[in-house]
Amino acid sequence: MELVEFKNLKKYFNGVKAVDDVTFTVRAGEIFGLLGPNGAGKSTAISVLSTLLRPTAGDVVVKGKSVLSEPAAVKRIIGLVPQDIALYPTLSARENLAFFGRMYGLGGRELAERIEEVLDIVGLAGRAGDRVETFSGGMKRRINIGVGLMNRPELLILDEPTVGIDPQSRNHILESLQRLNREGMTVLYTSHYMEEVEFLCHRVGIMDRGRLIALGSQEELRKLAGENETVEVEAPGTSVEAVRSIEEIPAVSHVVYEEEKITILASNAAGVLNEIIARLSRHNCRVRSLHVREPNLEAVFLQLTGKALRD
Amino acid sequence: MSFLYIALKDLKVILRDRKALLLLVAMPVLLTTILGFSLRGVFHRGPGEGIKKVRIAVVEDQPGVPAALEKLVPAGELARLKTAAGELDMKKLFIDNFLETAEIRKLMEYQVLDGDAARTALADKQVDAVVYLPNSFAVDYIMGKRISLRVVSNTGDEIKKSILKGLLQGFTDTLSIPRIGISVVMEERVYEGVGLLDFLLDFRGLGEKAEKLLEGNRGAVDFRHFTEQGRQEVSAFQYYAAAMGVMFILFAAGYGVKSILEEKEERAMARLVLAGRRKWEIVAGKALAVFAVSLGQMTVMIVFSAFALGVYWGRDLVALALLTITAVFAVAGLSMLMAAVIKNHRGAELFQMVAVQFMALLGGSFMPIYAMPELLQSASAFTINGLALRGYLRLMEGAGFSEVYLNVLILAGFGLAALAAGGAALRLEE
Repeated sequence: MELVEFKNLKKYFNGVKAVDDVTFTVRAGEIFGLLGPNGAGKSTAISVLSTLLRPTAGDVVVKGKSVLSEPAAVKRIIGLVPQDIALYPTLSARENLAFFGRMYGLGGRELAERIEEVLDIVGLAGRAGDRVETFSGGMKRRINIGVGLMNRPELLILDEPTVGIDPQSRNHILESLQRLNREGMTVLYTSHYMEEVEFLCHRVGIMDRGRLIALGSQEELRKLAGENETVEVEAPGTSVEAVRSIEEIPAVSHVVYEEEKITILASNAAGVLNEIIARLSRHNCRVRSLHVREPNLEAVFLQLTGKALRD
Repeated sequence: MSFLYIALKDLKVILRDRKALLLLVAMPVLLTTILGFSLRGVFHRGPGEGIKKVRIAVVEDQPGVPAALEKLVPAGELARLKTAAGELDMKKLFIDNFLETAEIRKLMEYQVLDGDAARTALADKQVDAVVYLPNSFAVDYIMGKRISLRVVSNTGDEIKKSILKGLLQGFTDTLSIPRIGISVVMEERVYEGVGLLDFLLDFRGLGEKAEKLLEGNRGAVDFRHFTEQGRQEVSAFQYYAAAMGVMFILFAAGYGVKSILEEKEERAMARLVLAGRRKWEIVAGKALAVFAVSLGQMTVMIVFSAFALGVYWGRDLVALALLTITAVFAVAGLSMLMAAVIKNHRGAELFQMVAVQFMALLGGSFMPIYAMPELLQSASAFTINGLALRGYLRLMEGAGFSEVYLNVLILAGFGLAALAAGGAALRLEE
């Protein structure tokens, strides 16, 4: 059963197509990942879904309610965790949860109980009385998610919820989301971290430059990459000529060089490793490390767009 | 009820912000104390308190009866005219009946000089002004013309200028106004063709009459310009308690603007919208927080200054409360209006650093309103702090609600209009 339907959604800002004719659905009970680089249009799409932005054209329907005609009904179904830490730093974790809980109309015993439940979910019951400004980045992110859970939403929308946090907090967040999903909550998760989406999501939509360029389960998407594997070479100071020379290898379909790392999409990667190293050596490149990865979402993205997800 | 929770949350946030509390509460109290002590000599003229008196030189132009009048009077009556003019001794009236009175001596000191010596004293800044007593005084007085004094001043001190202008105007008005009617009677007599000469030459006892006139109107003359009839003077502590109070509540408006912009930028506002809170609830909550903070600031200022500095805020406490409430309401409205106009955090900082300071300067928070150039004095009435300050000063002088009700109405009206306009124009999400 579809919980969310994006119907030919368009959102333009001063003529710039932030979201360009996007259509897909999110099924009830699944964790749906929206993957794409920064600026792909993910945040804009979920802002329209959250009723915070009006679409230029098209519609988003949540549980049969249109964001255009029944925004109040849509708001009651969803919980939003924005990319920013939308909290009051000088208030404690409990005070933040209490304030937003009251904004959702909770009060009295119901509010007190919900605060304790949420503190348990995000694993911060022991720090509930401490001011948020004293928390680590990861703890702030967890309270940020906690606020989104206060109204017991059927659909939890998370916009890049793990940006800039430590691995321990990231794991805690991802495991919490899996637990919430097992309890019946639908999750819409946007990220540009391929590993998170691969770990968490049942189905994935890949966005680039405002358009949805691929959609399906992870298995379905990997097939789009065909037999291609990804070779990642850490080689600082690689020249343009060196990159071009790798592109000329017949088995290589795409090469991207950024942040001292060459990402190469190649069929039969193991067979071309020696050739890659030889060509880099000829151009005096210093290879620090080299990894061959099986077809993954990064390879899919590279295959479809010719650029890395990190772009 | 949501707006109350929003306001309470904002209050909690600001009460935990030490920097904000320092600026909003401690600074005005501190500045009032410092400015009050350092400028009390300029303001308060209480007994025993040395003040900078206005120093003047009095120069008497050559007295006598102008030739023009001599032509009007028959030769036989000229002696009578000269005798009568002699009785009207301007110098005596000005010095004995005006400058030598106890009230004026508190404000002015004088020396009688000839023209050259006066000019030198003025150039050397030994005196602040030279007052020339006109030789036409006696005739002008007899003919019922307005009495005027020629004054040359050489001081940049606007307060001294203001004192001098007020006192001298009071002196001349007192002598002029009752005699102006005489010219009308004279014209009637001319038409009737009888008794003009007798009327004109009825000079007996004129000098005595003028002295009595000054004696009888002393209250009106002395402090007419700046305290009006029967008003108490405002001390430096009083002035700056009100001036700093109304200036620093403008900073509360700035905090309101910053709070809204921060919540927009960090998406907390989006969460409120998503939680189903309507715009009016958010605007009302935000405005209520600014209102409460400003009211707290003014209350602290009034209580502190009254008990620690002995500031008298007036006899009409209801008027004081109404003026305070409407002033902080106007500030809350201004805050919402600015939040709708200003687009980012940097704009909010600029508002606090530039616009608030400008309003404070214009409104008389830095220097006394009456010491400012006339154009700025008029402009100050168009600022929230200037309008509120004028109201407070009137109350401190002893006025009641009837004399500040216009300030109260304008402040309330502005607050309402700004709140409505700001609320309508404010965008909670970009």
